[in-house]
Amino acid sequence: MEINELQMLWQQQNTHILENTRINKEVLKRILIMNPEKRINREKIKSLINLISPIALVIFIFIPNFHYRDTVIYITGLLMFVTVFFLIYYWQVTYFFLLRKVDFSATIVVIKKQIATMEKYKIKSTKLKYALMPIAILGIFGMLIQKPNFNKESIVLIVLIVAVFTASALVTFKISIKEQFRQLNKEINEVEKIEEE
Amino acid sequence: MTDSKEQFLIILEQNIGIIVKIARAYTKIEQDREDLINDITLELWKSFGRFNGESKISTWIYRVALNVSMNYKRKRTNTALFDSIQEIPKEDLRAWFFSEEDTSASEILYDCIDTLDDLNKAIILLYLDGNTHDEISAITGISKTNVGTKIGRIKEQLRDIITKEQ
Repeated sequence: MEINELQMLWQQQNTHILENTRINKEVLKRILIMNPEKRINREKIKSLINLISPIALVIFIFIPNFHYRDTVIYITGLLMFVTVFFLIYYWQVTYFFLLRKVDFSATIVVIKKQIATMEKYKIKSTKLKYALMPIAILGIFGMLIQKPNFNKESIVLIVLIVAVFTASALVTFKISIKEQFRQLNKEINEVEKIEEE
Repeated sequence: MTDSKEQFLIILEQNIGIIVKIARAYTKIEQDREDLINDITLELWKSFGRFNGESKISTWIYRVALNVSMNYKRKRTNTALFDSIQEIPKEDLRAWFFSEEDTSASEILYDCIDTLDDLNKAIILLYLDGNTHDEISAITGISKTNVGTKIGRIKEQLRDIITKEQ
C-alpha cells in the first residue's frame, strides 16, 4: 500500500460519514445541540461552586465559631491562617480565569504552549500550597490553643503531623512534580523551536 | 430552535466527517471516541459565537477538533484541567464509528497514523484530508516551509511502517 492509496481510503470515509449524517439527522441534532448545552450549564455551575465554596466555608463555619481573643498567639495564628487562605484562593481564581481564556480555535502551536504553561502554573501553585499548608495548620492550632501546653501526647501528635506532611511533600516534589516539570519544559521548548523554524 | 443553533447544526452536519475522523485517529477505544466527539462539539459550540469568519469554517473546525483531541490524553490524567461528564448514550454515535465499510485497510491506516506523535499526526490528517500547505500552516501555526519539510518526513516514516505491516 502506498501513501496515495492511504489518501484515497481516507477520503472515501467522508462519503460514508456524510451518508450516515443524512440518515441520522435527528439523532445528530440531539448530540450536537442538546448535550453540549447541558454540559456548558453544568460546567458553569461547577466552576461557580468551586469559586464560592471557600468563601461560603468562611462565612458559614469559620465566622459563626469565631471567638476573638486578644492574645499574641491567637492573633499570630489568625494572621497565618488568613494569609495562606487568601493566597490559595487567589491562585485558584487566577487559574480559573486562565482556564476560561483558552480559546481552542487558536492555532495548534499556540494552544500546545498555552496548555503546557497553564499546567506549569497549576503545578507551581500546588507546590506553594504544600509549602504554605503547615503555616495554615499552625495558625489553626494557634487559634484553638488557649495556652501552649507541651506534654508527651501533644508532642507526639505534632511530630506525627510533621512526619506525614514531610513524607507526602517529598514524594510529590521529588518524584511526581519534578518529572512533570521536566516533561512540560521539554514540550514548551519543542513548541518554541517549531515557532522559530 | 434558535437561528444560531440551526446555523451551528448546518455547519456541523457539513463538517461532521472532520470531527469523526480526527476523534477516531486520536482515540483507541469506542468510549473515548464518543467522549472526545462530545468534547469537540462542546468547544465548537463555546467558540461559535466568537467565530467571525476571518478564517474558513473548516479551518476553525480543524483547529478546535485537533486542539481538543491533542489535549484529550492530558485530560484523562488531569481531570482538573478538563472536566468531563459522560452523557451521550453509546448507540447514538455507534453508527458513525462502526460500519460495514470499515475494512482491515482502514484499520491499517489508523494504526499507521497512530505511530506518529501528536503534532505529526495532526499534520498528516490535514494532508490526507486534502488541505494545502497554506491551510495546514494556518491551522497548525507552523510555517509553510516547515509544513512541507514535516510532510516529507512523515511520508517517509509512514512508508517504512506500511512496508513493515505488509
